[in-house]
Amino acid sequence: MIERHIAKLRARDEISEEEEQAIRDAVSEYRDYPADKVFIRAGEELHESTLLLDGLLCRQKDLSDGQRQITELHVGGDFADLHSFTLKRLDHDLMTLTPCRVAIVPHESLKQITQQFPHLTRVYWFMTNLDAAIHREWEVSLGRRSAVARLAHLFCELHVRLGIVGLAEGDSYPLGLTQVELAECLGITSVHANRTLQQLRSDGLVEFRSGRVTLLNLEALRELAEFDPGYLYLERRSR
Amino acid sequence: MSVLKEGRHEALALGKTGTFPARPPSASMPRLYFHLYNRVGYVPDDEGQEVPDLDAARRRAIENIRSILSAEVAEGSLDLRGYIEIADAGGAVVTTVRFAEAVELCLEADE
Repeated sequence: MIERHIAKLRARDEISEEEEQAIRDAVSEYRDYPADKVFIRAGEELHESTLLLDGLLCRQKDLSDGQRQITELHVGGDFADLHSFTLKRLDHDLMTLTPCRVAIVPHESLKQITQQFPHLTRVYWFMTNLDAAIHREWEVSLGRRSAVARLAHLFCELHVRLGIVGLAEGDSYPLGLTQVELAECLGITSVHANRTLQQLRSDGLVEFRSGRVTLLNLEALRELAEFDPGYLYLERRSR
Repeated sequence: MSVLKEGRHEALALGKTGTFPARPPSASMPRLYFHLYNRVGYVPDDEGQEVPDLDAARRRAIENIRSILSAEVAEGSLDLRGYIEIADAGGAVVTTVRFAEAVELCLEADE
């Protein structure tokens, strides 16, 4: 399933067979986590990064009053914490939302990549920059978009991100999020998220049922969300 | 049926083949359902949430009402005629929280 990660990289740049092999060799082990497991806590010392192969996980921060903000969702093919390679601890937790299969990449292996594969190193630098761009877009959503536009934007983003790694079928994709988790992405409450979802559905834009999102009118949804995929840097070019 | 509850069912079904497999249900707390009735109509909750007790459920309803009202106020309207019905797994309504209970309202300046 590491193919999803390779596909994500190849959507943005050429990856040689030698580089692909270096990525495969960097994996020290595979792990399976159950749903709703915080597998990295903010602050703990880290010596490895986690590459998500299958499932859905999130970066999250807790507040003392029990509120939680999900700051980014990760889909198959994403490094959840490539940034821990240089940071050595995280300022957020990593938590599974569904059962997840992950590959563990020791920081020592990443260090070897930086020494032996300068181009691949730049590609991974690009990937952390891409995460930052996604965070900026979520910041705009949380700060400025209405709840309905925020939700529409999230659905548009996941459509593109899942499409790159082969997990979307046309305008439809699987999404194993509860309404509480959806609300925690959007900075609203669960009943509010449910109502917002009903609004998108009654406007004929999105159907979210049976763990599956179907975009019924992609053009209108993107217009409502003011979604411009530019921040996902889909150009395939030399980095 | 709420779209979100069905979402959970599908997650269970997908568990066998798997992109987003099942999550196990927790039996530690009762699951309550927060049905919304407001100016845009009825929004059923078929997914529910685990809540320790009725007081906590009412507090959660109030948080939800405030979240909804604040978005409506941001768009220029305040309608307190709505309410959230909290029901148990069998569908019986255990309590109702009116929107007006969620906010302290001052319409005129104090003398």
